[in-house]
Amino acid sequence: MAKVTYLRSQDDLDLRLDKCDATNINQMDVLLHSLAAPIAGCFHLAMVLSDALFFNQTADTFRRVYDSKLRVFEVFSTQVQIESLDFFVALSSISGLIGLPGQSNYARFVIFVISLLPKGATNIAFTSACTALDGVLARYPNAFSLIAPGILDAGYIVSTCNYPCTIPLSIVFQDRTNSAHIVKDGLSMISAEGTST
Amino acid sequence: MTHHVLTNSTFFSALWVSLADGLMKLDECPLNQYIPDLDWNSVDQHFNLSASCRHLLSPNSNCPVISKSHPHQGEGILSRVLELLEVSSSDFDVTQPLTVYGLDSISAAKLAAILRPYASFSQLQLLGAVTWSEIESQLQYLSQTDTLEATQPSRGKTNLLDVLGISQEDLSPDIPLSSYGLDSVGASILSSTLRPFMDVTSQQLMGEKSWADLLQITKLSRTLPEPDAQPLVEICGGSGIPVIILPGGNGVVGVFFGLQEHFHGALWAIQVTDSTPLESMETLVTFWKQHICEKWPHGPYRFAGYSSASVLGVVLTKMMEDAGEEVAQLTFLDHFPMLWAHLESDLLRERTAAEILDLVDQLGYSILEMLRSDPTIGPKIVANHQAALLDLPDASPHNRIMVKNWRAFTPLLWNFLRQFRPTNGEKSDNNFMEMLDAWISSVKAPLVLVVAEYGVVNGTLGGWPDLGASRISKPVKVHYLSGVGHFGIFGDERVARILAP
Repeated sequence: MAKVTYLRSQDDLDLRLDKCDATNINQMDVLLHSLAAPIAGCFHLAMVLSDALFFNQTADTFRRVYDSKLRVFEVFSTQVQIESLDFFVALSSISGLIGLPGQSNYARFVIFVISLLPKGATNIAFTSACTALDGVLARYPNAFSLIAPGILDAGYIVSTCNYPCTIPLSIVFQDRTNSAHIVKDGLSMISAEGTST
Repeated sequence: MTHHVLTNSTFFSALWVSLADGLMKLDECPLNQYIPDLDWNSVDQHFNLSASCRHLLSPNSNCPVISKSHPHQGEGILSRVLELLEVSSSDFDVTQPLTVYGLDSISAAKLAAILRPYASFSQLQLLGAVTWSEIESQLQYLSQTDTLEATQPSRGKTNLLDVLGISQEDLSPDIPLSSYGLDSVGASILSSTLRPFMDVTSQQLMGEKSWADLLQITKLSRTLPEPDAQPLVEICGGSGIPVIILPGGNGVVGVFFGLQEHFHGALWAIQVTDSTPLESMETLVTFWKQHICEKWPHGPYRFAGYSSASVLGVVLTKMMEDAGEEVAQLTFLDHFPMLWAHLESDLLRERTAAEILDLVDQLGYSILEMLRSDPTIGPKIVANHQAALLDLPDASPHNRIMVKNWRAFTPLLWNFLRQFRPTNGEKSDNNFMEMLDAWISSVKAPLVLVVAEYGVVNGTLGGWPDLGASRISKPVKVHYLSGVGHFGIFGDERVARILAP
């Protein structure tokens, strides 16, 4: 929290913490049109964990994870031309890399986001992924995904309900060096307020 | 690119280094995917990497993962804390809150990581008014009760309840933790916070494991006899005719504690100690008989032979019966003496001392197979046992002793079985089976056999679905236990009932 307070005190930085449903086109449209300056970059940190053993997975548990990864990207990319950004970074997971128990749904959609295929390439192993979003990020030279291990402190708005849902989307305007603090403490602040963005 | 190794779970501040690094890389050239320099050994330890990813492990990754001890190194930890806070020891007052020295959320995260092997402090706790003296007292508590924690995982249970966000009353030990909403993040946190109390991976936690299952796993790893340990160990202190279990070839009793949950009555177990004579099967069993009779002078007795102690069970029972005592039941737990006939054509041939040692280790690897196929056994236990079999220096003392016992006991068994080879020159398998059958069937006690679905029947010795029970002339009551392995059977209620019907 202290860092958000600090950043807000900086004259050369305009820090906003807004909440909106990133899967909702209308809400995203309102948010994006409220911005005073062109967007320089975006961190797609959205995540929903809906873990269950594979045989207990349902269409709904898959959909929730899909929304947090692909739907958010779809909505954002219909509003913003990705190529026009300095960067677009999506947080992915080692779950998609090595496969973790209970995360077949999560692994499937982070793999979508990872999109190992360069444009035009084929890969049998990821055929199903490609049918949904062929080369989601690989088609953009200014985008990459970051394979993250489990994050234990910031980034989660932890819920004990069956479907903890967190959809943070951080849009960066100017100062990259302070972005970590914005994301981390911003999430903490949003978490403390009991909302999601 | 910066060199920043991340473990299987990390803090956002650490991840940001990778994020910033990726952005700088993007300035140089396009990239699709940024994979941080993960500590793959740590990932493997927690998630058991598949074969396709194992090339990522460092060459010594087959070495065992030794549980972190809780060293009495308060000063060493303090020096790391002072370094983190950038405060000299002369300026540091242990009674002042650490926030006085500029502890912020990021440094608190780092401090929590430093302390994690020794004590569990959350980032928020550290950002409260906690002082070093308070932290140190917690560290001392852990070190003084190191042994106690292995047998008294109540603090582990407290951590479990914290992570699950439920009360003690709401926790049912037999319900899988996933039923309480434990997801992969929670499993990762829980695995980390339980580490001082038990070695359990997040993969195991995400499975259908219940709290009772976790306790069973813990018991598997607390089996080292003390130097002055007695051969006869009381597992359950009930009344009535005691059931006495003879240990498998590793000579330890740890797995038998799993019976405590479901067994009603008196349950004792034999363990190999420093005083145990390992000269021959007869001297070994005579020694154990003496200790049994000191505590329970006359029959009836109930005996059980676990694993390769199936032969010992017959020897002991016959010895008691020859002495005029009654044995009410002899139970074979996931092994049957006739199994040796399955391998006889090669097993009992003439061997040099070196060849016998090779044979012993070959058979030792069959235990490794059974560990791997047992649903209750995690990869760390398998790795530790493998390391001991390979005589790697980092093998845990616990596993070293088990392998040492195995290497001492198995030659005795090999010599003993050789007596059933015919002396008339017709050394066929059938003759061996006939002689072995005659010996086993001469037991007066009713014979009972427990066959675990994922146990010995699947291993090197397997091949007979009933482990050879139907190949002897004396009837054997066979119980087939589904869903359990060679080591997990003791946590199964059915075994408790079979041992003392």
